[in-house]
Amino acid sequence: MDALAASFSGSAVSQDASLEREFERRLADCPTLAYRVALGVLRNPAEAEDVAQEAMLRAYRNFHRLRDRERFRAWLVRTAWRLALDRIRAAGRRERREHAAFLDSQRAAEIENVTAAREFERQVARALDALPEKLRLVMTLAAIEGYNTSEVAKLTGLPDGTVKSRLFLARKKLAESLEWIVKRNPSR
Amino acid sequence: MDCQKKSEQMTARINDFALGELSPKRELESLAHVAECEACREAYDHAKAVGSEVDLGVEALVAGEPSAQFMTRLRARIAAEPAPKRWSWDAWRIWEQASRQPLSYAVGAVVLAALLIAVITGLPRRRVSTPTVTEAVQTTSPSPNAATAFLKATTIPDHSRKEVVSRAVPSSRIRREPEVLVPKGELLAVVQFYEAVHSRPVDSEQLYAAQQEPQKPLELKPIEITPLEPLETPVADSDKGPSLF
Repeated sequence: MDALAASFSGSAVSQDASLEREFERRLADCPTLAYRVALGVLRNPAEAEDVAQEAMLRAYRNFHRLRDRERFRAWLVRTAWRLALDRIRAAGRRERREHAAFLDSQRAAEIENVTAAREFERQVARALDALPEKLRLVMTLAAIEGYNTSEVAKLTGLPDGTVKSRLFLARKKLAESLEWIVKRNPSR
Repeated sequence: MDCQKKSEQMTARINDFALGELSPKRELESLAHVAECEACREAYDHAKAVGSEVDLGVEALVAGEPSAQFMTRLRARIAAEPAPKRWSWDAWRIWEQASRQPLSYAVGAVVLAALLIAVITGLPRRRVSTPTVTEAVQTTSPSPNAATAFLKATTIPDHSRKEVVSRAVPSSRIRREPEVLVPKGELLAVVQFYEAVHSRPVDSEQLYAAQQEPQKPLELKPIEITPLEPLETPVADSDKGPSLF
């Protein structure tokens, strides 16, 4: 993925090379960010790729309008997040995704050592989907950024304290939802 | 901290502590308590473990790399896109096109300017003008010609007239609608009074004496009541109106 930004230099003959170089540099800072944000919402790699590409294309088209270039990452995250949510809402993919996850878990049940991990992953996904959107965004970004509160605050444009309290609430709700499965299988 | 009596509160606090929500001061207190109390330490360890499992589970959901085709597809799509542009370059492009087709752009500019002027001039605007002395008098007089002629003919000194003008025509106080200051037919009397006051000094003693002069009391005449004459013909019953009984 790091080669992605490098590959752009020869992809298009730009009439404003400095602007394009800056876009490449910004994109090289966060090559997988849009994809991971989309994956956190969609849980489907193919759909996440589509959304990430669309987000990056929009960023490319509108890069000249972005006044504060330091906020490129936050801009890309918001775009990818919105596009992923739109995709779910428009096509009603939530039900299909859950159904697919259920089928996956049934298939995984055939292999004993994979069952617990699959089940837990499914439960985490379900609990994460049940969170309010503002908590879900913070929790997803925190997972991507290694639970760095200040980084999440930069990406969301929220104060550090707000991010911290939302992150706590999200983790608390998830812990309440998943406690039973951890108790049932502590050695997972 | 008595965790035996307040077990629910303590559990909640331990959970918050494990998930990293407590303030530094309370964190220290909780840490000290957890070190002493075995039951709370177990609760803390359990909450911490659940929190870690949750974090790992969410991390697993967002972990992953896009496929190799992702880069190829994105490269192709970006190559098909026009290059990002600065706005100044767009402005220069418009100017360049205008220089190639000067006539059409000039006609467009003229039409736009005409529309703009029409819109600006068509807007309702409040007209404020400074009226002259004559206009001021006209607004207060029912017959303007007679009033102006009268004002010209009066013997009001120049300095007094200037004063009248300056008092009568404050541009900020003039209203557009006519305002009647002098009752109809009394303009002559007002001007005469004005002239009399300004032409000779007023004797204050005279005025005071006139005010102090005792007025005659009102005379009340007695009212004479003439008795009515009796009717010659009796009134019929039907003419008396409806009977109540």
